[in-house]
Amino acid sequence: MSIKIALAGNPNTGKTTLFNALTGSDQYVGNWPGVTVEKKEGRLGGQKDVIIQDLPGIYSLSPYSLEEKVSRQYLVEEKPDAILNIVDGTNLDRNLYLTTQLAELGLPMMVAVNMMDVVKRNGDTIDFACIGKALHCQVVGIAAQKGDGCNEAATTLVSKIASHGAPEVPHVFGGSVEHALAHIEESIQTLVPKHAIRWYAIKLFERDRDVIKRLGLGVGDLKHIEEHIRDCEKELEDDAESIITSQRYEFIKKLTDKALKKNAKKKETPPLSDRIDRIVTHSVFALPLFVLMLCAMWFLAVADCGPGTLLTDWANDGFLGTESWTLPFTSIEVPGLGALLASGLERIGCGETVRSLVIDGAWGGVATVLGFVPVITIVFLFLSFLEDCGYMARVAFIMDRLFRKFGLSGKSFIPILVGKGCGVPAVMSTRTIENERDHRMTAILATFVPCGAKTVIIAMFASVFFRDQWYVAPLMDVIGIAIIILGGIALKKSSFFAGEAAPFIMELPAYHLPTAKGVVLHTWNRVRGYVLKAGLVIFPVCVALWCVMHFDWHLNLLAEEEIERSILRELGGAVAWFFAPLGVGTWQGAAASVTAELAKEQATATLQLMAGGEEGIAALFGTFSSFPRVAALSFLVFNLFVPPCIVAVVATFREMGSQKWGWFAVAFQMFVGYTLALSIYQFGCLFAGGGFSAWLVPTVIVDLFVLWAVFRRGAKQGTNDE
Amino acid sequence: MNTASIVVLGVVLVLCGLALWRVRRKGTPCLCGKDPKTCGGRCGCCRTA
Amino acid sequence: MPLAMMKKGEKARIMTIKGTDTVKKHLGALGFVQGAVVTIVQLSYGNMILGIHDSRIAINDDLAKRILVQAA
Repeated sequence: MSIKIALAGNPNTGKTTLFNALTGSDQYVGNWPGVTVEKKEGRLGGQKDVIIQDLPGIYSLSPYSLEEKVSRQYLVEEKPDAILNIVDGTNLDRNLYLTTQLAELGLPMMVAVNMMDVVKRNGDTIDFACIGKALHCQVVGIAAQKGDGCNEAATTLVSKIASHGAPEVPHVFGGSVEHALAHIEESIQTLVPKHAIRWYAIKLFERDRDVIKRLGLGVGDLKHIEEHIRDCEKELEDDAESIITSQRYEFIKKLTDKALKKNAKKKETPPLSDRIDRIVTHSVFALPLFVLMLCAMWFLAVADCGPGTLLTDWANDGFLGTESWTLPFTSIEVPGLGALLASGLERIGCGETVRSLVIDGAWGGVATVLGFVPVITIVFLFLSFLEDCGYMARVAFIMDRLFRKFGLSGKSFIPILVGKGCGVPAVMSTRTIENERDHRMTAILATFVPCGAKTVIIAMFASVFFRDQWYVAPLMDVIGIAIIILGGIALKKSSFFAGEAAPFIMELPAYHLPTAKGVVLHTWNRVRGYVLKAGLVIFPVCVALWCVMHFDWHLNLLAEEEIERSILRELGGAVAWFFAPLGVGTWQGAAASVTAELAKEQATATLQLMAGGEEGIAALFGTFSSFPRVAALSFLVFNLFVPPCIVAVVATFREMGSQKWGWFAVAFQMFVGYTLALSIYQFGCLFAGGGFSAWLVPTVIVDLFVLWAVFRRGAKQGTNDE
Repeated sequence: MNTASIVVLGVVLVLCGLALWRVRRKGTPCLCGKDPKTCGGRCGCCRTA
Repeated sequence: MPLAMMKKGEKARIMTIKGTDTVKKHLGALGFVQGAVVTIVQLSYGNMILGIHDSRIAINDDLAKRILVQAA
């Protein structure tokens, strides 16, 4: 018979680190039945029949949020054999609030005080025995990030389950409340299991609707209980729930006054975290600082003199290329991998056509995509560092003021940050937004910020067309955020999305220097995903592309010069008209944009294939338009801001919950990307000296429509949540 | 087409097939940064095709 | 007076929170109870970062107006 231990605690307590330390890779992730809350469980390392059930990070066991409801249900109905409560030692008071509630469930419990390394470093002391005595359970200290004490805590808890009976419940409340609780317990004695009677009584005292419904109490009993509650409320001059909350904190304060001794020396200076926040969330400097950080990231990644470009150029021309490169500081020539592949195939006598398929088609495309690994590594390093140090939470706060102006809360910005890595988790993380209208809106807008794959397109175009203007790259991020803001404003003015912004409450965890191991691991996971994707997606697509470029409809093999007769040429040509006003109304432009829907970075591989190498891309765009750089910018913008790759579109449909809203999202995104690219190309050509073009007229009309959509008076709040 | 060409072509096609089969089974790799073994339901990209 | 009227760096003691919605309950769970002392860590156009019980909680301007305090 397996033992189930529930792992419960506040968010940001290192629960995940503890869970990973206890279960290693023996984990299973799914969803709690019927809801979108993640369910994680695993086996305790070395003990085959102990299951650790990770509960979502919660602040309390109230019935208000989905996470809390799911946790309550598990703890009360599925009744685990024990609870391992993880508590942040640097934040004891608030964390113990949940602990007092967990203790009332009547289950064997152990409190693991985490971050003990930080506590010791601060010079503070915590008296575990004192806390344990007050809560009637064992309290230990751990440092999950270092792995200290985790397994010992779990194994001790496991052994306690066998020897313990139902533990005593801590005495938290004052006389008046206890009096009412005693009466309530009497009324429900026969209805609830003995070990949990205390928890149920307190819930009824708080008039918890879920519990009232579950117990199915008779009207008479309810009235009786209500009288007792009212008496208590009258005596203490407050409402029941507030009484309970206040008295819990009073109990906790008395406890921590005794058990927690703070380092007297540190009292006066504000903690480092606050000092950093004074600057980072400063009302004037916060946004510029954020933009500055974006620019720093992009500068390193794509500036001509920066490490990103240097390494990518080496990767494309040297390491992966079809020629050789010189080992630095020596005169040793090393053949590129492409050269090795080519000579290898030649050596075994492979025919020219198949060689072209492998070298120009498959290898050419994959090498192009892989060549950008240095660039995305830099971007991902930045992202991982910012995520792990705690900055991302601050960005939500910084953006809240701006977002509130058009009816969204800063919480909607978090999916957008996630989107800088990949659009799929970004769309899925909008789930935490309770308001369905805001949820939908954020899901539509989340993919406008360039994801990792889109970053590759930016890098290529920066390298080919905008070498001297490294600011074009961060500009894409800025445009993305601007679209989100303006798009949000416009959408909020329609009755489908109108409504007040949700209040913003968010805990800001203390800044901490991320471990090198953590940052490198996160970055490596992403880079590994990118490389894998190159092999699994880019590779077959390039092979397919080579084939449709080298065969005509009768399946005759074509020579290089005969490409005009190829299948791809005909297919691309059939839809090229769509791209004409954007300056890339050619079969190549069409093919690149369409293949980008499979994976955004595929656009770079497709372009490379059709141009016969990256050097040819500039010339290729020269054939699209007499203003190739304007056309390049337009093409870049189009692919960045139309609907994301097919995987992300599918995720969006799922998140929206209905076909109608899914298609609306796609239509909206297509409109935005197209209009932006159109405006850039038409006005760009005009200012570059291109003279009047007929397309300017519809461009101006559409732009005026966009301005109207953003600046008109808004509709009143919608009455129904769909 | 000589033997070498056919062999190379065969290898390429088999690799493509394997790639597509793996994508069908496990979805496209995603750039979410989480450990693929445990990302499971959270980023979900491991499960989309 | 409402918390919204406090200045950066000041401390305040919570008296009560206006209203009865779930947001108030959530604030309660986070430690915003009668008698608790908060420090104004940062002020940004009405939005605030508050230090309470050793943690940092960010709230928007409307909430700051609903939390009634007295200077501590």
